Amino acid sequence: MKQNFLIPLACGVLVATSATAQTRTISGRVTDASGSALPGVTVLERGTTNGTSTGADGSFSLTVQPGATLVLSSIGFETQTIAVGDRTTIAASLKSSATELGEAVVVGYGTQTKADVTGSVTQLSAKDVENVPVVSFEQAIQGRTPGVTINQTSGKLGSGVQIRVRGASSVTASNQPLYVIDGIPVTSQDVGSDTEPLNPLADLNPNDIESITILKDAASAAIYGSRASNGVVLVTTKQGRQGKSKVNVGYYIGTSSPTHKRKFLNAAQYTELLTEAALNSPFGRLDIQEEAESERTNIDFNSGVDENWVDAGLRDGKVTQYDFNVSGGDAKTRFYLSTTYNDQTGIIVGNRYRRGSARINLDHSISEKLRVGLNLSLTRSVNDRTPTDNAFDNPIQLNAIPPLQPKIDPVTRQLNPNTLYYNNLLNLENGSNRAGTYRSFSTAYLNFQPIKGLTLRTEAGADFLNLNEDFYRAAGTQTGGNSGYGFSNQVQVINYTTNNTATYLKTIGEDHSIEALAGFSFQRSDTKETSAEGRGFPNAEFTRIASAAIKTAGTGSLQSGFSFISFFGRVNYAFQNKYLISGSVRRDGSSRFGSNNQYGTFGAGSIGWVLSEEGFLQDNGVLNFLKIRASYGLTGNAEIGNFASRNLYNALPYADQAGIIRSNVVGNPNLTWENTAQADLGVEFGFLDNRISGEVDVYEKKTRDLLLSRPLLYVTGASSVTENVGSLRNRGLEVSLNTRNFDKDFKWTTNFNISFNRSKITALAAPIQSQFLGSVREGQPIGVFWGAKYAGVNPENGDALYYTAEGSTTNRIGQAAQQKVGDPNPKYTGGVTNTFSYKGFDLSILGQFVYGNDIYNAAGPYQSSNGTYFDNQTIDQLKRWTPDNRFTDVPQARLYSSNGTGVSSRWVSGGSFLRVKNVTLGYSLPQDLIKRGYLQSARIYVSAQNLFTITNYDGYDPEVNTASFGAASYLLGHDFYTPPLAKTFLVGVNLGF
Amino acid sequence: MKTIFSRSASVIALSLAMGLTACEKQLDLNPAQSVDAATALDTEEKVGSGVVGMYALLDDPNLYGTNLILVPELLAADSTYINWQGTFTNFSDIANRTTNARNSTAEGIWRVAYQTINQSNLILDALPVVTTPELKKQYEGEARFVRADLYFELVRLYAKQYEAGGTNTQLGVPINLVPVKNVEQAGVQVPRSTVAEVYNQVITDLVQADKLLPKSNGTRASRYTAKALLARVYLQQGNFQKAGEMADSVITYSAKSLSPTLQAVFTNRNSSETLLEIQQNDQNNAGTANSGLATHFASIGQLGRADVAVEGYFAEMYELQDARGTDSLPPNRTRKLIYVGNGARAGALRSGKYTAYGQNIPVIRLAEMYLIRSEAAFRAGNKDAALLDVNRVRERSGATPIKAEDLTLDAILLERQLELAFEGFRIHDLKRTGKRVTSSEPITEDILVLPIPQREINVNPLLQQNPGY
Repeated sequence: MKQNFLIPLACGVLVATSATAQTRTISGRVTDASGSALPGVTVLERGTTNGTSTGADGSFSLTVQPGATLVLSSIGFETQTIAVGDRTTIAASLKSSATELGEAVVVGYGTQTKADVTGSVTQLSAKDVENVPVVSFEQAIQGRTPGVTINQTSGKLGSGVQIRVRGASSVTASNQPLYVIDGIPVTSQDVGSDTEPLNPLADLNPNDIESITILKDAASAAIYGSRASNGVVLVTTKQGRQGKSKVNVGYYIGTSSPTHKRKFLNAAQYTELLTEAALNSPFGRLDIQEEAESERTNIDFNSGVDENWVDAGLRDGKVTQYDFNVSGGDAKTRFYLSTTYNDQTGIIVGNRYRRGSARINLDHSISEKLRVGLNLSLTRSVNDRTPTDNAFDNPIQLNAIPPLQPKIDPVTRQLNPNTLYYNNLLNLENGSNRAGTYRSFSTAYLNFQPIKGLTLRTEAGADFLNLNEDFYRAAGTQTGGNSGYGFSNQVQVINYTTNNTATYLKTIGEDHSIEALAGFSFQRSDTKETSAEGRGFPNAEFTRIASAAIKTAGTGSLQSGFSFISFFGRVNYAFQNKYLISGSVRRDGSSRFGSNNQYGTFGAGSIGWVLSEEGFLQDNGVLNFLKIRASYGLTGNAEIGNFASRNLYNALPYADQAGIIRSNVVGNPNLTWENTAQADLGVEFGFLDNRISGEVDVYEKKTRDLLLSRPLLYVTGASSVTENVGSLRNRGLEVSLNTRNFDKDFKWTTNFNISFNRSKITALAAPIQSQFLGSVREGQPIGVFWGAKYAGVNPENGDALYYTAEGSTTNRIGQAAQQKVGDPNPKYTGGVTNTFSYKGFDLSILGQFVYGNDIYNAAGPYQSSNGTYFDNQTIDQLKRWTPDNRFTDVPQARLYSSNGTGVSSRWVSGGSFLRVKNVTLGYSLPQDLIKRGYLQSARIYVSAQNLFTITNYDGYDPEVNTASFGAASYLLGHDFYTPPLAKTFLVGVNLGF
Repeated sequence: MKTIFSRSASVIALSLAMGLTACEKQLDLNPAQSVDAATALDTEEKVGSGVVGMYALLDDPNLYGTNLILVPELLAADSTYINWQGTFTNFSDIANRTTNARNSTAEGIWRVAYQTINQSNLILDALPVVTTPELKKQYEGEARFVRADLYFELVRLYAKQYEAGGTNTQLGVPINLVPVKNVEQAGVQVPRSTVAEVYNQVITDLVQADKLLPKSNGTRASRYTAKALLARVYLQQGNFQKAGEMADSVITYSAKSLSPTLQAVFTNRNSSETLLEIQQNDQNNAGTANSGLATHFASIGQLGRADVAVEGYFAEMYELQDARGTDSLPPNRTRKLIYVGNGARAGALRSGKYTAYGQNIPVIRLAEMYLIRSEAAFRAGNKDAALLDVNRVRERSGATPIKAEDLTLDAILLERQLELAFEGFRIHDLKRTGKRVTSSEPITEDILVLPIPQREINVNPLLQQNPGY
């Protein structure tokens, strides 16, 4: 093991020779347009990583090579490039900028100025993710990311978030982007054992994030080769800057409640509907009370109880966060230190998430040429989980219990165990379901500049993930049975990477600038899992498996892993900062690929033309910036499973004898990644002193070699083979527009973005149909709803009707034509942020919208089925057909009759919504006041998350996609007793010393 | 300047090259829970593990773990026998005779039966590496036995009944005897053989197995297990003489004896009575939540889903003193094999044959051999021998012996139902004797034959669907 670990670290560590050259020291001062000092401006020697930042008085000092060019950048200001010449002092003034054209953009294995970027990227900064009451950072950037749709899927704390960069580019493999934190690809897929996924990115403290960059097109992402098809999310954590040490203390506290609750029948309505249903049963006129007794439902129709079971599963939650960080440093050493404790009590009963994290980011200049650094974080999180939606343990499923049954048994004064379905509130007192995580992200690097313009960098990073799942249900609970049930699972994922790059930057004369990158990378990830399951606990005080009488079938020990070897390179060339051209290539080898296809090469090229630099547009009063760019390239999706290419035998025990059997999944030595070719055309612009700026992109993404399971003949003992067949296409348009509406004392800026994506399956081996409506079919968008089309109710007899292939109607669902009945993909998505500031006050309002998608309520056959069984029904079922109400779309209530209860479009509804995602009002105390308190800054704020939602969807929350039917990436827009999101109000304070 | 640059470049190139060779091996990761097929069966020990794996597959819920026992019972469900109360529509469709070609149970049995048949084909293919002669014979015999057993189950479930004396050219199931190892072989389309061809294959394998298997083989198939299955096959064909001979051979030579009580055959493991018993324990069994015989049959506190209820009509067919009947008591107090459930769907009658998730599943037991010998003797006109055997089974459970003058074929067939109830015999017995399931449906109804899975027809157009689907 030790040897295994050392070899990759030894891989490609670069040895280089040192060199000497003349250097000189430059000092200077940076101010804004009004002449006041600008602290914290980054001063970089162009083409190197040699740099510093300005102090509180705007001054800096830096030792540079002769002929150096300085690049001055700061968020909110345009970047300025200054040739040093023979000067030793420099005074510079930065123009403020609402556009981010001058901003440095993090790209794969480097940074670039936004104006020079020829690919399509979206970058977000610390202020977008700080102090938002969410568990993981992706939830905080919803509505701010053109081309990237983010769906929280449910209100469970710490559960998976669905992200699609420019649509889904795979049917069966993962569609989640590659996440790279400080240069290291991290474990971002659920590693737990429960159907309900955990989000491993929740282990990153959002307050530690400096920037998030999403690489969307092939030109920007292809440098990540076989893992870039779903886009790449680069996260950079905060670094210390030279200057006075800054101490920040933050705190917020808040309260949360469900965004919306689905409405169900009360006792009187339930009694009315069910009594009527019994009279209409196919078995004749039945008495509902007799039926309730013969079915042993424990429902007493004369109980007089009117319980609200919807409310029983939900509650008001709480959020608090304590945050402390210090940053600073001198010319030799910079540091950023932070600790955060976050505690969220969820709106679902039993759901709570706590995270404590600490981080230290250090960087030290050994000499002017040699720099080392270390980023290290440690996180502990504890998640008291909510069971998967499709479990009687799910508190939302309480809504199926009739209102006639009391929550508390009036005789015993204890929770009522005799309900129609399991009263899972019993779980809260008699068990736990906890996921605890230890996580460490780390990167260590060495930066060496042997000669001017050449930077050699080697970095090694590790991502350790240790997950402990503990599940216990005492005797008397549903899962606990007669004697109690326990399950314990330990997962360890060790994922390490080394990146070794050489970057050469050269400016020839005034006109030519070249940046070349070559690199080598190795990654290995190993997962080990050990689980134990037991039944038969002496009593509820014994909760560990050691006390269990019977160790049952869930006990196991597993191991898996993958590796990648990659070589990559990129060249960027700019002529007069006008004509930009860039090309990148990556060669990836992976243990996941079949023996006949172990290496693949991915490349992309792009060009850009900055028209505003042309003579005919310069000195133009209206147009400040105009760039058009185009890119084309090839990327892959390697999330194909670790050993899918192999023919394997697995162990299968026969009672206490050990046996082996041949897997009925046949191996495929030709198996390879999915390939995506993407073309992108973009334009970036700025008008009227950059008061109006924006970006428009159109793209076409064609994915081929889709990994699909092809059914084989069972008769041969095989079931399927995974093959690279099938293709799909995504086309889209994304627009972002930023305006500075007022820019005096009163400032008002607006950021608006809107994205359109159309997906289409262009080739497929065989249609894929879930047992619900979600489906994959040639010629249709991914996840298209496919099934029987509901035709309403026969006014003559109250029968549910469906459309046949001929267009007539039938009351037998078996004869209905299977057809397209909806599309879970939105027609467009986007967001709008309005930011206002005046004096010390700031106000920001973020709205998010999703339009044109459909949602299928897969719980409809139970909860909106016109009294076919004793489940409580949604309020709309009162509109059922009766002889006096013949024109309705709810069939006649009939107990035990499947009148309209088959899977059909009956429960498909529009899922469009407009949500006021976040409103934050802050007040920064004036300088003269805070100085008296020995403070540098002080801000208090109030904030509301998910303040209100406008939608026609009458379920809990339109932002929904249940995870309970497995991780199939084509199953979109399905609601199944899925909890809503939380609406959170909080008040907070940030103090700087 | 230039030299520095080129020197750096060469160092980079060198270290990259070194890195490459060191890392290349890192791409050869092997799965930890699986082994490559190429070497999986290349020694005697590994083939031995493969044989155990073949038996383990028999415990799959789609085979004897649940479906091969439950489905023949559900196909015969009616108000005089059992009733399906559960929520699984794949089973309720079978019980209600509304099955269609997409029924997941029909697909599951087909899939795992053929997977297990391929496992036996792979073992037969790997025999050259088995060097110990006795083991080689034993493994071949076991593989042939399992293959024959599953083809027999398939042809009974997915094809019309074998007609004694007929040509039996009605469609049976496809026969595949080649080991399938790669994707090309897995694409070979095989049409359905005739029922006669399938029975011939079954008998060929069993006759071989009879010769190859040892007289005693622990809890696995022995020579007498093969003979016992042959008896069952001949009986299904209406070849009563041979069925009787085989049953007689098993009874006479197998050294098996009836267990003192029938209950003990199910609650104890590997009793003196069983000729084939699927081994289970608490860790390895056919399921505790959605599959498994105890899961579907039991209603004991929190154990079992109580999906299968025994009709009162049937329970009353047992004599009062018959231990296989009921005393209308809950499972913890009953002394009979049919109890009143006290768990899920409490209050209805349940079979006491399946009461624990990890219990073994008897598949062939000696009592069946007595009943086969009895029926064969009766049909041959030897009433005295028939009476002796049928009463041996009755007396073990405390039922009064049938009087010689009351002995009829129907009495023997009724005794089979009483003795072998809930063990996967019912529909097959009705089909071979031509008796009706319910008063309205003849036993030759198309719906009483499972559909060829639609999914299989989609990938193999040579397969012809059964009539009625």
